Amino acid sequence: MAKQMKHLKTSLETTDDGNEDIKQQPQIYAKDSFDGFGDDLCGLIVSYLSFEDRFRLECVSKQFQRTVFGSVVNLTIDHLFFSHYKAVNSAKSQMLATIAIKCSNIESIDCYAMQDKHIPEVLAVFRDKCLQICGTLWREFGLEFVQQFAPLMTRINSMDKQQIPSLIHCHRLSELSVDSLSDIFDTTSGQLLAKNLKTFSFHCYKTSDEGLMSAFVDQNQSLECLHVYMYSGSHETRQQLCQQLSQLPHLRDLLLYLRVGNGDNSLAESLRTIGENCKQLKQLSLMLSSVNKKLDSKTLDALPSYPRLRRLTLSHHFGHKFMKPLKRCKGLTHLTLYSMKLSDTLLANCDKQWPRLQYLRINCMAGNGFTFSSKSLGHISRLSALQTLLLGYGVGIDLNDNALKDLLTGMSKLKRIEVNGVKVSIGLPSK
Amino acid sequence: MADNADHIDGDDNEDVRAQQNLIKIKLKSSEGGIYECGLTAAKMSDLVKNMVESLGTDAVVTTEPIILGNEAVTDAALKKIIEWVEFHWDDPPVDHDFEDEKDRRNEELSHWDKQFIDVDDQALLFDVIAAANYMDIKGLVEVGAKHICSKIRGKSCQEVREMLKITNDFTAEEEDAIHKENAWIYAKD
Repeated sequence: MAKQMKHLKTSLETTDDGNEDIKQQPQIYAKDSFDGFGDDLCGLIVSYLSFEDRFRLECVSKQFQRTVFGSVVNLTIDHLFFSHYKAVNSAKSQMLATIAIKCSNIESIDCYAMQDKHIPEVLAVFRDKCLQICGTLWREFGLEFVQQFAPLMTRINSMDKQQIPSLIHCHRLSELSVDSLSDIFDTTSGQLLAKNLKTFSFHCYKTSDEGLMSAFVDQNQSLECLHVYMYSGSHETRQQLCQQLSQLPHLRDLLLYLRVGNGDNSLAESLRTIGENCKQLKQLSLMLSSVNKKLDSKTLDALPSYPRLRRLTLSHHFGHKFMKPLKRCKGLTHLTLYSMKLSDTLLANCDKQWPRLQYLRINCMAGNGFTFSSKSLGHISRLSALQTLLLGYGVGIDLNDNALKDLLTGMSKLKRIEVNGVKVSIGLPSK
Repeated sequence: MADNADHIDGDDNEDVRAQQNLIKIKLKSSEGGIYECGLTAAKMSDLVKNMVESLGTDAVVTTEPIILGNEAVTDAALKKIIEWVEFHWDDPPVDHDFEDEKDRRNEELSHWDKQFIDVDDQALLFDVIAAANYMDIKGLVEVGAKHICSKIRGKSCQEVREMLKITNDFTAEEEDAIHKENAWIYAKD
């Protein structure tokens, strides 16, 4: 900002005797020239360029060169990264060195699905900085590699079972996804190897995990985000799980994938327990797969009493009755409904029931027969804060494009609309 | 933090914000033009917000207009800025509990914003961006930045220079050297 002021407060004094003096004067920039922006503002503007464009546009000007890389703080390297740029082996280290030098603020590297042979090469280039690494603990990593890099890992998105003992070296780990809860316990001593996590995701196949869950909860009170995929288990097991996870006081984001059994109505009680205990819960995703579809119609009754619930995802063939409590979840900002039997009644007055809704996604199973009428779209179009509207596969819309556009054009804050995966552009014709 | 956030997006607070926006304050451009703006809308500018908070709302409403002395705050730019904040003052606050920052950066602009920022007069566009930066209206600076970046995306250096009227201060040799360093980016599929 200060720099910019200096540029703008220009002096008109120039001397006749030589170019030298003129050069030393602050310059006057044409009002329509980008040169008038100071480095701070320039850096802010070019921070919205893609990684690639930054390198391509580095030589626009010295100011671009100074400012275009500063905002790169994360580097994502997937298995396409090297092949994408056709970097042959000899050029790879040169390319990485260039990136490391120019993007000197990179502090985290996401190594998604990266071929393991490249990882040491990449990390070696960036090692001297305070790095956070996200990636997979592959079986092939030797002890030496693990000891060197495990302390840098803050997120692990998958892990070979052989690497379980390496978790002990991951002191900074805050996010972890594992296949089974038993993966984070030492196979011989039974010691818990992942503590004080913020985000955790696991699958639950058998009931023997119960004891493990309570040990996990005890030593991970800091947990904010939990995703549980539970494929089997009686409703007692499920209740116990919900009871245990409701002992996590900082839980903000919870995903439960549950198989709901015959005539089982205990879920309502579990959801009440969670709501009463997890006062910080802001995001709840309930993915229910059921053997029979007759789930207690009171299942979702506790949701309106969740004090901070803002984001809700529901996946199930809930009938209309189940959805009724949703109409009282007034604080919702994000709502995602998958494979629902919808009726216009849920959406009627949606602007009153969800005045702050920013994000609405509705996906129906093909053949479910729900068609968006102009009436239901009319309801949606009154959601004045809505920014994202995704109407997914299986949703029929009995409106032609123009009528749809007319309806949605009034929603001036919409940024993204997709119908069956196709982007609908409702912008006014560009000049 | 969490308590605070909850308080901010509570119903009562929304009503207060709406009430406060009925209060009009005056903003004065660097060219001397004086324009009215709702208080809540005006406070989207951190500069104005700090001034209002240090002077007290009553003083701001009853006394002299707030002077925005930066050259970029021309009459035309200030009018555009007031139009923007009057449209956006009731936007939902960013919820920092979710890691949406990356998504938000990549989000497209709403069609209202696209139309708003697509001004033919580049001098005015740059004034609006520089003035928004001076007034510390982060959302509007972002709109301007996204607009410029969408215009220069995929363009050559020379095209960008011509479009944004940027002086090339590199020598041909320097430019060649940078091209060589970044050769891998051009070797892309």
